[in-house]
Amino acid sequence: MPEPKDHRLCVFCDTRSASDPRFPSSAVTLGLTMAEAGIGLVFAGDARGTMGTVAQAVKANGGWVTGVVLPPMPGTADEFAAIDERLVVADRQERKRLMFEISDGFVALPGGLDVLDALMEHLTWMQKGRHCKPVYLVNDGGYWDPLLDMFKEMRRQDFLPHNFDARFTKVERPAEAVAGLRQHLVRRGAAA
Amino acid sequence: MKQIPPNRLCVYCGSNAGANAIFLEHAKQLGRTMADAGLGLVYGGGGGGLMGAVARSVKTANGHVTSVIPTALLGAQDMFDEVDERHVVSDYHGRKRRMVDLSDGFVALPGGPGTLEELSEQLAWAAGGFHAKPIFIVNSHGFWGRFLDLLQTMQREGFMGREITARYIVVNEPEQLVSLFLAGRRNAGAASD
Repeated sequence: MPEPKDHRLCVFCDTRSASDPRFPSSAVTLGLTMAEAGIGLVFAGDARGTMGTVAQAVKANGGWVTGVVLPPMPGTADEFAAIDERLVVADRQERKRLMFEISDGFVALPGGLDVLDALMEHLTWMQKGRHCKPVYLVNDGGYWDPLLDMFKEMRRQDFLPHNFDARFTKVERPAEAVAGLRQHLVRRGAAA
Repeated sequence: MKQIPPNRLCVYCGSNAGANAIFLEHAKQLGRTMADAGLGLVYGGGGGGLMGAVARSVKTANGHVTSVIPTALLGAQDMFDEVDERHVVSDYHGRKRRMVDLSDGFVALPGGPGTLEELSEQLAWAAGGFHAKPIFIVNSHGFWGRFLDLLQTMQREGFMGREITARYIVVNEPEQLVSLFLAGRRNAGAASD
């Protein structure tokens, strides 16, 4: 039985499966790297799609999985069965808040509107000064290039806060996000 | 006291004016055409940038403005004061929820990360079946082009269903969205009769 983790990474990714086979393979890599680094997964508890793939990979490699789940999900077929810690919340906002509180960092894999929504919410929370936890954007196969170009357009048109680029770290591979979080935790530990 | 309009649109846009003059022009055009069509404005209450321009244009054209502001922003410097209805909520999450509840549709003008966040959230909620209200994207001078590319990428990669494409409407001019919104309401009314 794995121990509850001191350090947790919240993963934003999709409950659908991608058509590009690269994406499931980087979901597996992310789960494996997290388990090896002793970093627990925080997710919405979903067994489906890329999200379920990450959770399976964490468990298959002896890692820790925390699901922040909405009723009626507990016990339903969509719920990931091997959750180590299940936190039940009342609604989506409470879920976002709790996931934010218990996580030491965030990583967005390629995904759809829910992933974009979660990512953008974290990037704007920082604007309001409530957030100094690292956010990693895994730009697998250039998936997020249109979003990064949108940010550039915002900069050109004078809509982007000057410090915006410092709010997230773009990485090409998921293992770089895990390595980045470990370095962040070491620095934070040294500062404490 | 002005009567509450039967339909209100929630507008998301930049808290500054942006670099292209067409953005400000579109903000004013949106406010004016909404007021002329009897559509109320729901927004975050700011007095600056495109936000302030939309609100002032609604008021100038004798329209109705509802602001939803968190207690943290009470007394802030750059708020727009001539609102017809003001909702004070405890936090930013409460604000988002109230804005959604009060509105019959959503509009994104050009803006920054905050605007994109609100737009993404409405699209995610629409895709998740949490509301059936239309979402209009005003693509002023092609501003949202890269974001529309991202939506296409999501669809191509299987992360977004086809049904959501029927839920957001891209227009080049704000005037277009007001008539599209009204036509949608008429159709909905006819269907429910």
